Formats: sequence, C-alpha cells, structure tokens
Amino acid sequence: MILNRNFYNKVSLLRSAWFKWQLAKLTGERLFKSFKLHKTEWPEKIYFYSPRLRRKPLYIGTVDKLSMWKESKFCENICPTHAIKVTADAIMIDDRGCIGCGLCVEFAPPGLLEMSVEFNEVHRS
Amino acid sequence: MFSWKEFEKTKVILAQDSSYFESAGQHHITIRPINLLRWVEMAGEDLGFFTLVEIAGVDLSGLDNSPYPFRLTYHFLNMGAHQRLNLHVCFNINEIIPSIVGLFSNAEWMEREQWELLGIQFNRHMKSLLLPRGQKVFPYRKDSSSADWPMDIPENNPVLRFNPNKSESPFAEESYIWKNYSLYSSQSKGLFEWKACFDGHRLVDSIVDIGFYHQGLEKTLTTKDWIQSLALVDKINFGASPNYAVAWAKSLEDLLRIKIPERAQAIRIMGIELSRIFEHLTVMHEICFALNLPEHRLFLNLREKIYELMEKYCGHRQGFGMIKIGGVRDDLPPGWIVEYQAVFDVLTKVLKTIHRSLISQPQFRESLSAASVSAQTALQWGLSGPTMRASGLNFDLRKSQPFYFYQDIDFDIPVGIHGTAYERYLIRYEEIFQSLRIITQVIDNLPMGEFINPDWVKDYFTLTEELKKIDVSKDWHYTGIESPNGECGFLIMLNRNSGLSRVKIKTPSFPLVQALPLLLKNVAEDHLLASLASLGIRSTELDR
Repeated sequence: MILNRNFYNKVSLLRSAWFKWQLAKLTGERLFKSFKLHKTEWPEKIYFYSPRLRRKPLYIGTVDKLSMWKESKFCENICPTHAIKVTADAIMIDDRGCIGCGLCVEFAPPGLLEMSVEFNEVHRS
Repeated sequence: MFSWKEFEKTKVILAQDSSYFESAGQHHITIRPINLLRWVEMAGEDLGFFTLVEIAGVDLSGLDNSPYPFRLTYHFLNMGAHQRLNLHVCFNINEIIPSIVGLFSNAEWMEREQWELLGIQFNRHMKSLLLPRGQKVFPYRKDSSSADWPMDIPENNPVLRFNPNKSESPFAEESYIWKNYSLYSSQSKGLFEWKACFDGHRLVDSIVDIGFYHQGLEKTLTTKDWIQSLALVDKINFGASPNYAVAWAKSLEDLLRIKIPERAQAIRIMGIELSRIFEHLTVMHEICFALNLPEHRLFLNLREKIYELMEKYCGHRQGFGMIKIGGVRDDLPPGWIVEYQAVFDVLTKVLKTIHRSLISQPQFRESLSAASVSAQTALQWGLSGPTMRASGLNFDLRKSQPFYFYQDIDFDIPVGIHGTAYERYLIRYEEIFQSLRIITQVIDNLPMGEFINPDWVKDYFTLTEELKKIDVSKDWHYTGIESPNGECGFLIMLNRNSGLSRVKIKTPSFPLVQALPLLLKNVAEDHLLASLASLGIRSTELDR
C-alpha cells in the first residue's frame, strides 16, 4: 500500500533529497560520511554511585535493657539464617550470616534494634 | 476450553480411572501411572495444553496412609483458553513411570531432577543434573540420610575422535574447536558450565552443566516460616526480587483469603514494574558489553537511578524486603513521586538517544540477527517471557490472569515475528516504556489508605493456627507471575501440620538453559555472546 500518491511523480531535487533524508531517519543509515545524523548526548562522564552497603541490625539500647531482649526469645528464632546468638551478657550478630532482611528489627521490643545507615556502623549516640 | 462434564461423557474409559476437582480456577486430575502417557498425549493434542510448565514430585510416606505415598504433578498451561491443568500421578516407589520426553522435550531435565531428588524410576536412562554424579542417596525422601556422599566425577567431557587411518582424509570432527565458557569466566553469564564446539566460526554443538550453587532452597523453604522465607525468596533472582516475593506472598494470601489494601496493591505493582525496567536495562547492558560497544556504560548509569529510587523506598538497592504478608513494608516516603518523575524524564530522554545511536550502527543489527527462535520451539521447550514473545506468541500473564489493578491499566504487549536476538532487544526496549506507562498511571490514581492490612501487622504468630483451618484436600497450589525474563512462580503443597511438605520453584531460566544448545545452533562465534545475553539467563535461578 502506497500512502503517498505523488510517490511516482517527478519530484524536484530538493524534494527527493528530503525523501532520502526521511528514509535515512527511519533506517538509521548515514547519507554522507561527514554528516552525522544522530549526535549522542552523553550524560555526565563521572557518575557517583551510591555506596553499596549492606544494612545490618544495630543495637541502640542501653545495657540494662538486655533483659528485655532475653525475655522475648523471638528475635533469636526469627532470623532465617541463624545469624543472631545470645550469650549471658552479650548479643552477637554474625556479619557473614546476616542478609539484612530486617526481620529482627521488626520483631524486637521497641528501642533495642535499628537498621544501620552507614557502612561498618557500630554505635549510634 | 476444557470442562470435566463434557469430557466425562466422551472419554468414558479415561474418566473412570481418574478423579477430578477444581480449586482456584485450575483443573486437578488424579490418575495412575498406567494412564499417564494417554492423558499427556490427549492434553497436548486434543485439549490444547501445549506447554509443560513444571514437574514436581513429593514423598508423603509418613503423612499419608494411602497405598500410593509418592506423587508426581505435571503442570500444563493452555495459552489460548488461559487454563491450567494439574495431573497428579499417585504411585508406589517400586512402580516405573513412563517418560514423556517424546511428547514434551521440556521434560528431560525435569524428570532427571525428580529422579535424583526422590529416586523415582522412569523408563529411560538417567544422569544426575544438580547433585554429584554417582549418587546413592536421594535427599528428598523421608528415609534418606547423608551417609556416604560421593565425589563428583566429571562425565560431560566431550569424547574426541580421530581417524587412525592416515591414508584417508581426517574426520570432520577433527577440525572442530571446543571452547569452555567455564564457571568464572567473564564471558559466561554466571555459575553454569557451557562447553561449545565450533567448526571454524559457527557453533555446532554444546553441552550445558548446572548445579554449582548447592543452596538447597526448596528444602530450606519447607523448614522455615512463611515470614522468614520471604527474605530468602527475594534472593532467587537479584534483578527481579519483588516478583518472587509477590508470588510467594500472594500464594499465602490467596489460601487464607487475606485482603490487602489498595495502596499496597499499587505499591506492589510499582515494585514489579521498576524491577522489570532495571532487569531489562541490565540485559541491554550485557548485549552491548558482549559486542564491545561503549554504550554499555550508559545503561548502567540509568539502572543506577532506579536503584536509588528503590533505596529511598526500602533501604535496599534491588528492592529486598519490600513486600510483607498482607501488604508492603512502608508507605511511600514524602517526595518519592517527584523523584520518580525526574527519573522518568531522564530515562525516556537518554534511553531514546542511546537506542537511536545503537540502531544506526549496522554492526549492531547484523550481529544480533542470528539465534532465531520459532514459535514451535518456544512451545515445545516451555519458554516464556520476551524470548517467547519475540517468536510471535502473544501471551503475558499480566493480561491473561490479571491481578491487582492490571485489568484497569492501559498497556500494550510488544510481539515479534522472527524471534531473533534483535527482536528480543526491541521487545525489551519497548517493555521499559510500557512499564513506565503503567507506573505513571498508578501514580496518577494512587489510592489513599493503609499500606498493610491492620489485622495482619501483629498477628504473624497466629499464622500457624490459621493455616490449620485450610482444606488440605486441595493440596497443590500454584501462583505464577510475569517476571522480566519469563514466568516465575511457586508450586506449593500444604501439610496437615500447618507446614509445607513440598515447594517447587518455577523459574524462567531453567527451560532457557535446557534449550540453549538448540537455540544458539549455527550462530557465528563473534555473535554468540551477544545472542546469549539477549536471552536473559540468570544463573541463580537454576539452583533448586
């Protein structure tokens, strides 16, 4: 189907050049080697990627609140990779095991755990 | 359309030996292994179930008192009528199951997988797929123990033949060159081994070997709670984590009939579509990287902007932990929508310029013109996603089984003709704009309200009691979702003790890798890696 009825008629040089230009636009071919059709707009050359950190649970409570933790046994059991271990006087979160799912933060008693914001963050005042 | 009432009248003999029930819009038929081949043949040829989606086996010897404690489930899909058929084969372990590889080529790896995990005997020679070769232990059986685990014996090495008679001309195979795209090579796409054979410059034959992750995810999912396993399911595919999490959460919500609020539905759709965009961008990056084009860097920069959007919402760059049971993790933070609009402007503008500059290079079009997939092979090998759509099959789960708001949203599905790698690239390019279109429509009509069902915020602990109320007779439950590279989903079998007795993960990469020697046959060596990248294979999905 030919949409343009004047396609087979005689056309001027300028008109034919215009047709060629349109065809080149569609197919993406270059008319002349010196003539650049598509000038790529490069974005900024240096891109600052955001830091690739793994957020991990951070203990923000005081020492006297440790008893609260021990009463709620659930935080230890909720961890899908068993990365949390509770001893007599400390809570140990294994960095290698932690996948940063945030379930322990969700199920801990309020004011004990929080997700870290910076890399290797140990303490937050 | 398949209906059991009409079927019972016409095919009396087959209907007598089998029982039927319907649950969640899917047909379930329980049969004996004698009738299996006849059933599968009829399903494929008469009833229009052209694609075999998944095969899953389970051992119920402790739980079930029936004489046939083992079960195999064949899950079929009818694309024309949007119907799904489950054939449950009940049998004793001493019985031999007929293999259906002659009817569905797709079944070869699936049967091998069931054999090595459960020790089910099929009537053909079997080699182990995921586990070390020469195994004697079947880990998914109830009576299994990891007593003597054998060493891995490499068996897939190609046998090289030479003509001993020097007076004759040498064999054609002698001039072949074998190349090993091994586990840690930068050229292959992750942890699977691929030995390729070239005659001069074209690929003749290749051998694929998988099973190097050793996660055992299907087994661990049965031991965890539903909430815990949401965190594990996220990591099946890093690019498409919201898809798997939604499929997992949705399967539980359908079973318990939990209503999730409309705002949560909208945010879930946005998560799925954002993940689709950045997965497509990574594939486009990989294509350009394989062709040594400098544009590959620009795709990464674009992807980074979507990562930042995700990070501002849920704290993780790829959208982990975004979805919770009964809703989503958090409400949209203030100013997020404005930032999305900024990203939208940059994406549409920059992506079009990159695309135009790529298309204008004849080298790009020529090198991607190979590796065509016909519609017949796509059906025969159970392919899905952009690879299937490029071959001309118009099927998308967002249109055929619309969930949440997908039926109210205007969007189109791009479909190809020849199924070449170039068309796969074009479909990916178009789908990015379509999913941007979906997100803008969702944001325009963003419903107000809560982001999580308030009854389910604190009541996770009553989950086990709720699960006991479910009717267990309808055991198998399948939910599938259109992930960026194809259909992903979970076949779940519930247990009477409120747990799971079997989980089967359906991933799009598994059939793709299985059909890889066929799909990339006669592709020139220079164009091979680009056409491999266009398939969108993710090796983390291959593990079970």
